[in-house]
Amino acid sequence: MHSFLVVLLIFESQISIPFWLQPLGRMHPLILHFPIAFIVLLVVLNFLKNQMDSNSFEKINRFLVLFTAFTTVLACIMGLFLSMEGDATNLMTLHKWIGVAISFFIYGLVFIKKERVFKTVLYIGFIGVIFAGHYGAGLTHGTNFITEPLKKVKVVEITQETPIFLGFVKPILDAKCVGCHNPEKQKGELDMTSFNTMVSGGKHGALWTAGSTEESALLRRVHLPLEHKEHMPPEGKKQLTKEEIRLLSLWIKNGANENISLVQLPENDTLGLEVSKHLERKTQKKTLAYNFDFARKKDVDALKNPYRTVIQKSPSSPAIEVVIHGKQTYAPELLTDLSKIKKQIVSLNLSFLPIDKGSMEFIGTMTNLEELILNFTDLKTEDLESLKTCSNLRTLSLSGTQVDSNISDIIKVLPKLSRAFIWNTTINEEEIKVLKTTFPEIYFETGFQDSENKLTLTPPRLLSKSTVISKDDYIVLGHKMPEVEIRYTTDGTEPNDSSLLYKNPIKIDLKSKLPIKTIALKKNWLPSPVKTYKFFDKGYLPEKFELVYQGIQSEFIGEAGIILTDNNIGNSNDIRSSAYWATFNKQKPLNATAYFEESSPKIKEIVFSYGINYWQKKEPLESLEVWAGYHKDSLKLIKQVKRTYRKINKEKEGSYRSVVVKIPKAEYRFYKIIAIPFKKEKLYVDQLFFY
Amino acid sequence: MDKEFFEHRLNINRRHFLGKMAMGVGGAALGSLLIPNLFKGSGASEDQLPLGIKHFATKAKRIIMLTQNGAPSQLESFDYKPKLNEMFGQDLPDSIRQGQRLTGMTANQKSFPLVGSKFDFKQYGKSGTWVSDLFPNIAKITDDICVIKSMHTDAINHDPALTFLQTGAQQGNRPSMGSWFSYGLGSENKNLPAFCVLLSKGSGNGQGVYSKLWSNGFLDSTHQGVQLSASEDPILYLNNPEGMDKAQRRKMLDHLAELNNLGHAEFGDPEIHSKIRQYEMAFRMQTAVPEITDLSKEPDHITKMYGADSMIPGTYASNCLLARKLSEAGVRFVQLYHQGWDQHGNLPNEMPKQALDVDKASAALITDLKQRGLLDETLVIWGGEFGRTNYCQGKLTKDNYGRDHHPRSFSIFMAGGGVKGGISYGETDEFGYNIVKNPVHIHDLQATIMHLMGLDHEKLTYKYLGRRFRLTDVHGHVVKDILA
Repeated sequence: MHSFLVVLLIFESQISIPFWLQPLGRMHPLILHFPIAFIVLLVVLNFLKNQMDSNSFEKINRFLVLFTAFTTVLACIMGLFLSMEGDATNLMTLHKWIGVAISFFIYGLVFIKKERVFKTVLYIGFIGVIFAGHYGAGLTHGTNFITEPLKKVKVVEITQETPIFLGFVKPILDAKCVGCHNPEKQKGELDMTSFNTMVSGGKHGALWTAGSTEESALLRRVHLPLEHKEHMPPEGKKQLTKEEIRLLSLWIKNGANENISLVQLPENDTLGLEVSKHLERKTQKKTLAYNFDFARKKDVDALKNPYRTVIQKSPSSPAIEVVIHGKQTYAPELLTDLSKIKKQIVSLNLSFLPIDKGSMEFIGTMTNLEELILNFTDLKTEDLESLKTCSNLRTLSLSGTQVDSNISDIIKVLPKLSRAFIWNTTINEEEIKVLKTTFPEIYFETGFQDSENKLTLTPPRLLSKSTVISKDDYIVLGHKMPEVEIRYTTDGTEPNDSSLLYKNPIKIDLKSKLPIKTIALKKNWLPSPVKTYKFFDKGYLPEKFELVYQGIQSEFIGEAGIILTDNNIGNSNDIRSSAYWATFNKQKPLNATAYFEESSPKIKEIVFSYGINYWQKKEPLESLEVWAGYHKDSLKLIKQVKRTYRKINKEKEGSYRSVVVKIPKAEYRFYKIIAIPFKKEKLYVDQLFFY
Repeated sequence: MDKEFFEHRLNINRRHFLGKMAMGVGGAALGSLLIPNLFKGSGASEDQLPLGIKHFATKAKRIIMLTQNGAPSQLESFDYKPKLNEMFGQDLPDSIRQGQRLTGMTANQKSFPLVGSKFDFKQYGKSGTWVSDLFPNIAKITDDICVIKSMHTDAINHDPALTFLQTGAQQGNRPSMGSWFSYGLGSENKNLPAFCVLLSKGSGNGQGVYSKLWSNGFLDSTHQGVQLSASEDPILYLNNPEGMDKAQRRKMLDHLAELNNLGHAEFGDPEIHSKIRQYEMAFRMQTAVPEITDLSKEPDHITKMYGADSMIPGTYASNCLLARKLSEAGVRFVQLYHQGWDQHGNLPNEMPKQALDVDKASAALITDLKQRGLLDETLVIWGGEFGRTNYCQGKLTKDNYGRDHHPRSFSIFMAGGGVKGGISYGETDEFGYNIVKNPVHIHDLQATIMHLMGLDHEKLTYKYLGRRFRLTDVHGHVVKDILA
């Protein structure tokens, strides 16, 4: 095998290894651990020679030497295969020859019998292994691998004057390219450690053509699809990000100048903008780090309660955010209890709370506070004096407070303030302009400004739910907006600003059958459209109410037996998914029996109320029959109504229908109502009234 | 019965004891090997973070998601394709469609005539974002929003697509996005639910919204979305009955908790404790909720901003206003649904009404958050579950057309919460059919939303039925380009 090794070494430059041997070569880093271990073992064994009986020592020693020699030469041959794949560097040559030397030294051991010579050769081999190992590690991990952690401390401050190449381009290349393209491991004969070596390029020529993104080899390879053989960095290595590619392209486009820096670029230069973005990100990371300690977890946990949220910003940050909730439940202690962690609080939200001046003085002691939200508190400018000591304040939110333009006295002593929210305060437009010019570096949010054009109000709403009422029920009207005036009429006329003013719930005369017409009015708003509410007399509820069919969509919208007597009139715009309409068809028509007790008032009239769905074009009700009797088994037909199947005009006729059936003698206890729709139609019924 | 419970508890204790032994000795040694800084104190490692703390510090704290249910057409809102107007009535080229699947509603259509937007587009703001004339108020705030024109999804029908958007899976058994945030970040204000849902309905062709969309799935039931009612009282049955005052209620709850604690001591069921917590929260909600629903502190021009509709409970505008108030009070995730965007036909007549419902209030919500200094920490998301086809469904006439479902490309927008304002991200081809640049999958959107909230979508998991589940399943990449 050693002769094979010699042959390999001699003809190294003439032969190229076939691809199927490459895996064997790549196992070099695996196999090499055997000779290392064996040599170390040999050395240890020789140290311990005196402790063993000589016979067994000789046997073990002999065996180990043979084994070491074999694995060493194997590792060497594999190493040679591996070395032929890549390009030779000084380091590799050194590693190679030391490795070969060890191999022959160990081979020599096999034949050496003299103990002193044996030991000398062994120790030289051992030292050789240390060196070969070190250089080998340098090949795989880079030469600075061991010393790297010691060197890292050197950080250069990057500013606008730093050359873009040094400050932004090189760090990218260092992180993603130099691992393979360095003086020791020049893949593609390319060294990317310095500007000059990059300009001279590699095996495939120059790395870039200054000013041309199209002709630059670097960019071409970066943009190739990941699977492509020539794509860089190769698949599996860390890829360049989009931002990095953009920066590299822009820098090359700009001329790939080594010395140009951000300050030398014209304003709004695309490269300049990109670089300042990167710069901003770098500096931001630095400035946001906090220099105070973590609060004690015990303290933080003790301060948490339902009315006070205390959150550490992230596991790696000592900064704490605090929000206090609930106006009614607020007590100043909720704030002042925070004194233990006041150093760590960077964000405090006290919106809507009744904060007083004393509390503000406490806030003044939170020197690391960066964000303070006081929206819709009752604070005035003079209450905020104590904030002057919060020199780290960046965001101050005062929307909906009483502050005025004197706020500038406070703002001017807050050096870091960058955003102020002053929407819906007493500061007027002129004063806002002054503020903006006095503090150009601060962003003032002034929010939505009320435009002059008036909007139409929405009509009053009926707050008493049902429109089916008895004569003693109150009708409650309302409007969500504050300061709205509701006016109404009960005589059927259109309401206007001189109609009756709604103050308290009202009762109406149900016999007149006239609707209530309502309108909403408010200063600076256009009056609402008139909204008409029609009310129905509840009448009498039967003691028992039974149906043969509970409606065909009962599983979806509730049972017809309830719907028909629930005192709710349905809305014809919303029939399909409403809980107020029961649905019947020809196969399962409405077939209801109502029972009244002896003592209950006698029924004089039955009203059957149904609606027409928006897609229905024809009259749905074919026939309605009302049967009545004193006993359940002896009912007689009192009235039958038949309708013709005809097209209807909903615009003119409306979408509600009702059939009134007079009961002549009014002495019955049982009533049976049968309503059958036409074959193709569905019948939607919302209520049955008994008067 | 008692005996069974007793045995059960013994079992639990034995198992706990053994488990602790194994973890105690071996765990400490192994832990120090695997996590080198285990004994170094200060700052836990990311993997073993307690819930309720962000993985990394970000600005966004809350989300308001304005889901436009039914899928609004991107071609009439944000994705301007004049080519479609030029090619009015011509057939969609096969080279564009590439045999991709269509819904059963148009798959058998003989031809696929292209149709452009009936509504004009203009560029707005410093960013020059294209917005159609249907959204004049959103057009005014383009410099605050980031329009993503390259959204795409897996599902082609409403229910699976909406479920996919909200839960990261089409089947509907996973926790909703809001539940994940409630689980991962907890509640900001312990007096309110962390996840609230508000529904509204437009006049256009609507699609169903089901409570499975705000289900907690396999997470604890405390993370379920709480649907607020569209009536005068958004949360029903919150008031004390007549004759009972606050002190009495407090006393009653204290006694009830004592009884419950006895129950817990006996049975050891953790659900008893969560029940006590729920009672306590409901008690605190009795004071917290009226403060939120009280509009008297709202200046008049707030109503002008959101539109007069905001004074009618149950409308989109009033839900937007309520969403702002809930979010302002610390509700982690407010989910709105507005139905009625499914314009298979009659689009030129239905869509303007839908747009009118939402345009003013959506824009007002963003402006309102901004003027309170809340936009940085509140992420607003506006969009539907998929897009609509560039060809006409049904009969194409000069002034009327409809559009079918199109999952391959659609537009949404986001604002605040650490998203870059004033940009349009991603591009579709000139037919508005396929994405040609920077595609964003639903999982990518979810990953990005989580990232904005300070959560790593690969790390927030829940072990259930033997595997760890994520909102993004095994997919998702954060769209870094839109992060501010």
